[in-house]
Amino acid sequence: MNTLAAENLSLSRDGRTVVGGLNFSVPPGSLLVVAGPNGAGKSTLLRVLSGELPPSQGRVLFGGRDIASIPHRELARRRVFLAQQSECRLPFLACEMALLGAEAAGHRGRAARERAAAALEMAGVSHLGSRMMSKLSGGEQQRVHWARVLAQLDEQTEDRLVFLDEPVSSLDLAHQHELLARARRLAKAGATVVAVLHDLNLAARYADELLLLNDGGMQSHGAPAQVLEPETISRVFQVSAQVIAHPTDGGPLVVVKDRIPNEPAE
Amino acid sequence: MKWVIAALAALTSAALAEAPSRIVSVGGAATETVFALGAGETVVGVDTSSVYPEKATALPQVGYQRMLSAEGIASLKPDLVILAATAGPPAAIEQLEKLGIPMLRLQEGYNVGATIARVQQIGTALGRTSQADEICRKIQADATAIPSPRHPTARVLFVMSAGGGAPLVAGSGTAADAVITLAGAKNVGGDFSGYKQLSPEALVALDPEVVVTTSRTIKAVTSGELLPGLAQTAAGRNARLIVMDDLYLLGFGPRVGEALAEFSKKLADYRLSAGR
Amino acid sequence: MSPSRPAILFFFLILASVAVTFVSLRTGAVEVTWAEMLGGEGSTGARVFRVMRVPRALMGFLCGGALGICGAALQGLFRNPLADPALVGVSGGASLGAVGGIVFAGPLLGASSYALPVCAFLGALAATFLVQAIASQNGRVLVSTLLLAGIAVNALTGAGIGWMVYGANDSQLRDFTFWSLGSLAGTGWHSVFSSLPFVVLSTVLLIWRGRTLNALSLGESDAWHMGAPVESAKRSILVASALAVGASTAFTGTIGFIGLVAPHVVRIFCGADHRVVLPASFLVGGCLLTGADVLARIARAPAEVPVGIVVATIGAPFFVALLMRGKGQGM
Repeated sequence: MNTLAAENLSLSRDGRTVVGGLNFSVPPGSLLVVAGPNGAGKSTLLRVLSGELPPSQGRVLFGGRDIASIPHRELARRRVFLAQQSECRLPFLACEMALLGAEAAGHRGRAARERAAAALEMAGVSHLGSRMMSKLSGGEQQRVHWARVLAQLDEQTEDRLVFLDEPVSSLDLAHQHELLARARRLAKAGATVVAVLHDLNLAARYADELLLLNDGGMQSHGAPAQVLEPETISRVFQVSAQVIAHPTDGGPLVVVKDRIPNEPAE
Repeated sequence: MKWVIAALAALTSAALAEAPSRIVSVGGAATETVFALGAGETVVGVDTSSVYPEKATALPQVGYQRMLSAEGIASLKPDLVILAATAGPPAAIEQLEKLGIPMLRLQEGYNVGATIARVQQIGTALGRTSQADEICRKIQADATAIPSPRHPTARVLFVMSAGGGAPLVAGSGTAADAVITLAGAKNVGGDFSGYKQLSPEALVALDPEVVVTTSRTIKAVTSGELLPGLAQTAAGRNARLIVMDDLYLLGFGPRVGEALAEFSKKLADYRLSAGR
Repeated sequence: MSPSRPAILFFFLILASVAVTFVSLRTGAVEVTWAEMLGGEGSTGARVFRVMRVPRALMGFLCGGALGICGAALQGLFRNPLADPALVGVSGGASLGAVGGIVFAGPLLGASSYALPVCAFLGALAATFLVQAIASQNGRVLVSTLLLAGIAVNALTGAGIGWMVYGANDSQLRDFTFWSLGSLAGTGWHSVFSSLPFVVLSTVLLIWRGRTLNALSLGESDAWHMGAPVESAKRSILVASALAVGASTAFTGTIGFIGLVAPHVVRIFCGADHRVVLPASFLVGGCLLTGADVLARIARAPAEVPVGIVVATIGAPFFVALLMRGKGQGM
């Protein structure tokens, strides 16, 4: 079993420690959502977990191996990463973008083109294939990049890591749910998915586990229903909130009333 | 087969001929010398600096002397290329060598001796040694006839502007410096080397008594001052300006003796007071 | 995606390359007969063909090609369509090397036609390595800093050139002016053989980096996640560009514009895939320079116009026309 684990993990950004002493693990087949206020270090955590950035302390283990010790090329075949926004200023077509992902997975020629086409289909953007990236809207571009990431993900989803950094911030409601539902299916098929989300209700709906980060470290980690307590939410996000039962599935539903005014400095 | 015969014929005729019959001449003084030797009819190409005699300006142009094209020169089918010391670039000259085109590279130097040596070089190559001797005798005679300067300390500055650009004054190591010195005067720009831009204040500090320039510069400077600050100098206050043709005065060609004599006379005519 | 499109492009580009090279071999001030082209000996025409025409056509293609492909690679690396070899200091360094050679090693330059190119080449390499060193932090090259470092080093070489030009005498000044205008006139076999290995090596390396450059067009982070060897690619692209452009322009002098325009022309016709753009930019750059050189040779024959002037005169309006036409298509 290839578990993704953080071991006494500390992260720093520009020499300043953002998060200290994180310990948690994500079992394969589950979707972990990382949430927290701006500047809490969510994106940095995602980049450290994916092996892109070195932690300032501690280590990230994947299947018992330090992720830093896994050869770059091998890692690229087992781990995909969807950034919040990918910018491409050269005149690539959407289908070529998806092809980049298939080629990154080691496919070539006709096989790569077929994978790219399948991924565009999965992401629901087949009709954009022959359009130029720069001519697409922000949301359309994001869905093409999602297709690229899907193309890089091998058919075999077990032992795979999927990182999504605020993947839905430019998407409309339907596509937000479509993308996260797909991510959830990937997890069900055996992949480990870690996503940064701002919307706590989306997190509650799709996450197996929720990790709340606040200044200085982890505030809470567990099933969404356990983590999403009104007190925790108001402490972490500085808002007064209520948590009610979702009218259809009974899961937690966060209703925010207003912002708690800044407390005077101690 | 035909071209072999043609080539052989060309070789034999070249060997038999006494003098080159198709000359490309690079350098104003070189071209002037060829014409002075009476071989002007054999010149088939010249560079941009070859502006005297006027006939030369009607000939095919091979371009600026520092930027020659070997193929362009070769296309004129010369049997002699005369190259001033400044001719280049080295790569083009190397190519001319590889093409087997005979070349005459002239000696360097801004003085009467070197000029005479160059005239002799060309005279020998053209098989016109007696004409060359005659020109050299005249150069020598003119040069020795230069009136000894009344006041060897006359402070002179040479100014020129290429194509209406910023005016440059002549320092040491330039042809203008040589001319001023040969005429028995002092080049006040002699403390720096080459052609330099001069600030108006520095010009006032140098305080030349006479300013020399070329007729081309005068033509280019249509309005305003030749040099900013000139009015504050002795030369400016007394309107002492000598204007001469640049190839004539600075070319160090067959007319060098004549040019030096004329320049010296103009300097002497100002009857500069001694002192300073 | 139509895979036939690059194939058509390459067909026409190779056809154009052959045609331009042929015209270049046939055109010039000296009349060269077919017999002389096919191996005549002794005659001036035959010698002109062997000593000058052939190396000149080859050099035009090598140098133009190097500028084109390096321009394409650097635009990809910087993710900036305005990048060209001048940006990473190659041109500024080469100019500084050349003017340094002209001013301080005058006698050496007269002695060997290799001296000036060697000075320019060393200058190009030194400037590029300086740019890279400034932009390196903890063993990583920061592309954003690279751009600024390039601008700073260019300003520095400009200042160095200014100081030397200020101290130069008249003839040194003119030598430098003509070097900086660029010309293929002095090209001989030695220039071809000296730059050939550098250009071929760099071209192969850059084309091999095509896939990585595609990934890099999304930025370093995405490229890294797609398994692209980001750091080694950045360094090798810089070094390859410095070697190829340095080695070829050292002999010809500064030739601008081709590195900028060739990749754009290619992208307008066949998109952004570097595996197509890189080799196609080589061919387009080669055709552009060789073609411009033909005009430089015949415009004022038997004198010659510096090819840099011709490139800019024809290239700039052509480029503008392409931009107007391609306005609705991105880029």
